[in-house]
Amino acid sequence: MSTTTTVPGGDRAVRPPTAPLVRLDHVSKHFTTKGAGLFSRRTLTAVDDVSLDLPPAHTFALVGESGSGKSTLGRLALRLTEPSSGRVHFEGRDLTAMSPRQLRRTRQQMQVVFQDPLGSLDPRMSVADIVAEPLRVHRGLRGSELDDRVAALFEQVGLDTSRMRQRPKALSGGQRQRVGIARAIALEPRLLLADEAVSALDVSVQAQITNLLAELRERLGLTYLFIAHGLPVVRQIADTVGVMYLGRVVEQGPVDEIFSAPAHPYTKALISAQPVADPTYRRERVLLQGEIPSATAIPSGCRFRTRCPIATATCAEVAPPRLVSSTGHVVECHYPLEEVVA
Amino acid sequence: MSIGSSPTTEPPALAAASHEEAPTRETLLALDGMTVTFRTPAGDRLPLVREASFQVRSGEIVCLVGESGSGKSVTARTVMGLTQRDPAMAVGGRAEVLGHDIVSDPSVTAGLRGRDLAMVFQEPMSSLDPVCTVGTQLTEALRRRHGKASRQAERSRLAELLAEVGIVDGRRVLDTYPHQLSGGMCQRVMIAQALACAPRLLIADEPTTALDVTIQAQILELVDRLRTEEQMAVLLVTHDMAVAAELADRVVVMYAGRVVEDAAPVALFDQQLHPYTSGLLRCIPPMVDERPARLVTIPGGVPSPAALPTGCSFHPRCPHSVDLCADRVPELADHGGRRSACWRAEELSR
Amino acid sequence: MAITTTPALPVSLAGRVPGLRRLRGHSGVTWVAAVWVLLLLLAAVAPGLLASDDPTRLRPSLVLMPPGEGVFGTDQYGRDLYTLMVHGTRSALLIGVCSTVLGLVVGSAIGLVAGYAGGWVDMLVGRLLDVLMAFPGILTALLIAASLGPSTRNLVLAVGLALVPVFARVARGQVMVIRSRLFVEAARSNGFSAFRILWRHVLPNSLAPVVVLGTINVGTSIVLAASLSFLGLGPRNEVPDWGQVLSTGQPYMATAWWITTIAGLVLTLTVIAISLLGDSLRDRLEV
Repeated sequence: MSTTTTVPGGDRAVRPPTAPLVRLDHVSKHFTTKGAGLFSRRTLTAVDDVSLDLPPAHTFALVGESGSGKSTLGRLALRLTEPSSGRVHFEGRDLTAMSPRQLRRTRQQMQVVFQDPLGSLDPRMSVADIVAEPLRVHRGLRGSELDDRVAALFEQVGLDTSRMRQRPKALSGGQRQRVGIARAIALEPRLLLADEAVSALDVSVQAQITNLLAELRERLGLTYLFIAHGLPVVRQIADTVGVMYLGRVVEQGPVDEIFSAPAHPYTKALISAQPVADPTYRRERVLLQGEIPSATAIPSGCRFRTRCPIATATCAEVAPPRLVSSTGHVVECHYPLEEVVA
Repeated sequence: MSIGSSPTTEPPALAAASHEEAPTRETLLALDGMTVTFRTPAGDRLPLVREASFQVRSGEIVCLVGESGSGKSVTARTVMGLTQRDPAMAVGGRAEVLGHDIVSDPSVTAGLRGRDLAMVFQEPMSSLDPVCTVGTQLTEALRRRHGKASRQAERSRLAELLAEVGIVDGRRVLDTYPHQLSGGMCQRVMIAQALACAPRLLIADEPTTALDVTIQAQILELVDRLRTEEQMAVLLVTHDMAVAAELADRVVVMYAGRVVEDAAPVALFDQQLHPYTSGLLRCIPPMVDERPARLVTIPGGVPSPAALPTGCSFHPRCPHSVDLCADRVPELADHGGRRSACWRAEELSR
Repeated sequence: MAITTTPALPVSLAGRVPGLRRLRGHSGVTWVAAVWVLLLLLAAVAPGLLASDDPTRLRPSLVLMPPGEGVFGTDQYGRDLYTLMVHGTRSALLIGVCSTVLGLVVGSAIGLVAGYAGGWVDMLVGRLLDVLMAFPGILTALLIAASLGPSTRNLVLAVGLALVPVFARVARGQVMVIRSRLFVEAARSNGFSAFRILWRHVLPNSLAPVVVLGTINVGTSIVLAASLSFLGLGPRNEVPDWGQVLSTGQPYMATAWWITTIAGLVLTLTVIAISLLGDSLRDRLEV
């Protein structure tokens, strides 16, 4: 496995073409929900025909409003949710075709760090047992060998080993999230799904955990699928950003291009809505009207047209083209704000 | 606790000159050495808010910023007269809301609420009555202030109000129940309800934390407009320094129950007179500037009110702490129109 | 996902009665309860130590004597009530505890599988439990006891099986709550087997309300077993258990109040004591 050193700045996106670690191939997910009538059913499209590649040792961030389908997409990438159609490949192997046994074995390679660290830890176990469990089950470690490994993991995530015998309840939010991370990296996975992993934490703790994740990525060559609604954190940690709207990735590209020159009007609106911690900073703010439409009634043509400030009649009729630039910047829009070569 | 000896009983002069053209600003909320303590079942008294002093005047947005455990929410809830309902809570010092002393008589807020005083909480779902339509609840709020009017007039006024908070199909929303609406919708209905009574003082506890940034931008824009147009006074509790930077006339930073810094945003973001404020600002990943390889963090975590450090509560995490910091609690002292509770404020600002 | 209603969690007796709630957490009260239960255990293991008399000795001359004659008085056959209560402890506890444990284990297992599996399994089990719950427990127990014949073992079986739907219901509801918790999802994403997730994560976290329900049920089972014995479906023991004393004393309530009162009081105290111990156990387990 090639380890990539991450350098802050613009050259993060330039890397040799490698086989993707995860490949989503026309993946869709529909849910059936109760309709207005007693027996009526409505189909909710959470993810709509998404294809994307996650290169190894890379951080791919998914952003978007709640209801955009970013969490569902993350779960589909690990097959924690069954796709309604499409295929998911991990290290070139089709996850969707695996038997439950094979899938369980492959799962060791892909782990999750959850938003709510307390809820994701079994309240009846000591934090050492929580971290030890995957090692005991999948690696068969016992005794001092196990203890040493757990202690090493605690050290790796910056947890005081004197806390090992405590229950999750006795720990602070940041410490709990460190336990969650220690458990996730115990089996030396290649892929880590961070589902709003820092969103619920206090600002100062958020910075600590963000740093820890960045550090682990470099040290262990991890690939992150990083789901977040906080844009500053995404800008800090991501290599590539995918912007989701109503089940589709409407724009995707290197983090600096997305933040400095967003091509999709939705991306621009999202970034301009983010408050900036500088009272002297002035910018053109794109205020979006209303909120994200229901995923049971996706607008025709371009799904963003109902809130788009520059929508025309074409947008209501024709689905937008998928434009791809040489830097890997992808945008689905009839009137992209920045030049993207088709 | 000596309130009289505090050097900050005088209203702090505003550093920002932008408000000097409106000399008729009225002080609608004034805290002077307000303390809130919680008595545990074991009988210990935990200080949740320690000698908080600041003011909010008409046409002014004051952002109360801090992490969890800083006492910012308790402060807001006490001002609303809500913490006092809990018999384990004791409020001391001085606190005046719209000229009424709420320490000696917390029940006065009940009479003020829905007229001159309104509040918005982080959890909109639990604040709306699930069995009443949105219209019914908003009408109630409207009547409390303006009295009964014709049904048609009331409905069109409410639709207008909903439009102001960014709900386009207001007339339809009036006939829905809270559970039929999304969290973002509910929060905007809550805000519309608070605004229906045209309050002079709005207290908002993390009103946009649960919302997407796009919706947050709409609501902050509205609050900003009401401040300017209606001279509404706002106490906005938030954990987000960026929100404070965008909106506030004054930023009050709390740490471990105490106000540690209080300044106008331009001055505050330019130079911090308390190391905690600097630390907090450095934790935020930049949106515009070059990304650092690693974020600068504050080591450790917020202390629990049951185990507060001696002296300055921040000293164990502070990169600049000296022996004095561990010994004595620094007063919230005036530094030319802004305040800081740090022994080394003068020295560090040089 | 269909909206599933979970049955109200049983609160322990001590949690339900306001006066008793105040008793909770008082370590002194817990100690009294512990002493009472220890005494009962002693009576069950070695009744001769506490009451040296022969419980079966009939004394026609001392029929229906009030307390004072002996400690608690005598019953309609002139047997000493105190001796009867002490010697009946073993059978009462045996029936109460065994049938509760039976109902708890079988019921929880059913509830665990149904709640975790969901889908048609849950649907089927749920409806079946609904049907069983529609009958009063005594009716189910009566049916089972009648078809099995009178013996202590069959009485335990009958009472235990009648309790199964109650425990299954509570366990199922609790499992469904726990199943949706994030740490179960975390275990699943860790690639643990369904059995491990059930056994190590779901079961321990779901058990608390079931155990609390069990502590309340010990008393109920004793009374239920007594009712069956009263109807002639219990064992023909020479020494009557508490339930039998309670039910056979009933016709004499007007003339000899002490028989039912003493038996009832002992039963009630036992239920409260076990419930209080269950509570402190629950607190100890940090549920």
